Amino acid sequence: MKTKNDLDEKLRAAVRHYIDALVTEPIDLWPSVKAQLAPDPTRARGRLRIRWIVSIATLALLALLAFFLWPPAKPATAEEVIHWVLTESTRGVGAGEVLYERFLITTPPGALSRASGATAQLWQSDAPHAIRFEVVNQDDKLVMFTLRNADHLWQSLHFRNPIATEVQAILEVPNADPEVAYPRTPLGLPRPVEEASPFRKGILYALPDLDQLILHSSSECAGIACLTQGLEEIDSGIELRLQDSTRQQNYYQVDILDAASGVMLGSMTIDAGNFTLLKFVDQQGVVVRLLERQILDQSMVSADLFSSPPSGVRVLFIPEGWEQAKGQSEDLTDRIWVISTEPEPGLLSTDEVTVTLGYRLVSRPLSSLRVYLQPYFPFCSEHEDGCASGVVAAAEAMVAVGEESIELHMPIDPWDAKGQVVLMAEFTSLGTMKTFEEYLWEFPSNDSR
Amino acid sequence: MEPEAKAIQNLKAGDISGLKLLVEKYQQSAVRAAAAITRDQQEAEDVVSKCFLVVYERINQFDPARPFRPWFLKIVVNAALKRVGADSRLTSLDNLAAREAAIASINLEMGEHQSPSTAIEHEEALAVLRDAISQLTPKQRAVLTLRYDLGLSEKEVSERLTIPRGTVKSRTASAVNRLRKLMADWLSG
Repeated sequence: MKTKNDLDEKLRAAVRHYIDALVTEPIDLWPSVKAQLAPDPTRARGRLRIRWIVSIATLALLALLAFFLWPPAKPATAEEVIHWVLTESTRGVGAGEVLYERFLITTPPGALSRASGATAQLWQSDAPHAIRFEVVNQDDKLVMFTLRNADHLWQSLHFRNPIATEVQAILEVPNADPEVAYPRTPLGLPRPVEEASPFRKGILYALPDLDQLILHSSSECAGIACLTQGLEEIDSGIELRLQDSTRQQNYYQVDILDAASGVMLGSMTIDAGNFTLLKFVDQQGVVVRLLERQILDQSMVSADLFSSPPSGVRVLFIPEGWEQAKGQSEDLTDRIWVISTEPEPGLLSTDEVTVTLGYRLVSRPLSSLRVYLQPYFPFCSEHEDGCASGVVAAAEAMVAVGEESIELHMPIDPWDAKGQVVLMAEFTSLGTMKTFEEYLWEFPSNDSR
Repeated sequence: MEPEAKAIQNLKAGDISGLKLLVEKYQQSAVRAAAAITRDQQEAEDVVSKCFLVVYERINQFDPARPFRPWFLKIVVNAALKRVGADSRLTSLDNLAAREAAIASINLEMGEHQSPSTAIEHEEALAVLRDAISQLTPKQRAVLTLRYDLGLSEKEVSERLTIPRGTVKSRTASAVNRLRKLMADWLSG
């Protein structure tokens, strides 16, 4: 009788011999294997292509790594950031269509640096036409943002030490709508201005108030003394001290001191022409402010007014309408012409002359347009004896960039009403004066009155 | 260094002379294993040739500290199973010449039925064997080949086919039981 082992062995032998029967021919696979190892041109091309793809992908990866990881030669400057923001803000909008009433970017030293991982973001908010910029420093703190929609411009400036121990924000929100919903609410949403004297507030909060305060006070004053006096009345605890060295300039520098202690609280730089705030620097000399509604540029004030303070804070000045006007007009010449006068030139017996002027202002966003009647001495200069000038009648108005007409009324002082007068006009801020020699009036002699 | 280790080292360095030695050494057993599954020598040779190309491309994945044969047979068996699965024609193919050769071979090898008077009887019995094996599934044939022809243990078969040892055991048992039933008369003869 066969055992189980016998049966298994018989099966084993059967399988082996079954396979032996299947593999009957001699085996020599090497020739076929070797033949298949020969490079196939198509396969080779495919491998080459793959190698190229891999190489290019590797290079791209290395480039990306280098971009993000390689330390840059130098940190981004404020100018670079400003340029970036402006470029991004106008992208797809069209040159001249995006205007900023005011635009400030600050970069405390070291806070904004590519090497330290600063980033800048541009994103569109849910608000219609709103554009928001963010510049974030290496600590993921918001350095600044600006947001502009159809009607409003929101801004924030965030400073770190040494201005404050914590990041602070200032918002200048002209006519801002606090109900506007924005998708993100970082540090920069509007904050109520603290109820305190603008001279004593944190300098960031003080700026908008001080601006309005000086604007209001200057409308009631004809001189800097009046202005400083009026400002001192707002906060009896302060003392404003005019630096004499600036009297001969076209701006005034006014130091703000604590009246009791004599401690310097800051200083203001005020336009000598229209008493508006140009710059406000705190006792640490870190913050600068410029009001763009003033007709100013570096050619009109001393260079140091616009130079960066040691802290590195920078201000950008983009007057509203200016860039637009420059972008639209090839001819940047400002012009004034006479459309009509009442009465017409000739013998003048009225106590007022009304002049309708046409003007074209393109080199500045705003300017004061002044007309006046001045004694006419065609053959001598003002400074020669007998040629002294005196304004007989004058009128002035602020005009904006563009081409418009304006009607100005010049009351006549009867005591000056003598001789022959000529119509003159000028954009006062530009220092361009034009004499309209065909518009001459002659007062009746005293004998004929 | 042994010739095989040297060959593998050369192959890793890109020298195909190393592959030649491996082909010459393992082609026989590899084709047998593949043929047991495909039941066709030509098909098995084609499978094994491609497996040597796989060796050429993947030799850097091979750990020289381990034996080459099990690693290679695993590739061969899987490739043969894949081939059988991909081409259903092979499951019904049985080469007449192979069958006849098997019968003759078994007759000679087993020496139990060498009497001319019983030749017809033996032929019938081996036809039963052929039919029985052909009724196994490719996976059962793979297990039987590795176990009975190549002499691998259950553990080694498990590793080669990447299946649990229990599966090897049950698959072997089911294949053997099936053969016993199909070949009951011949086995008891």
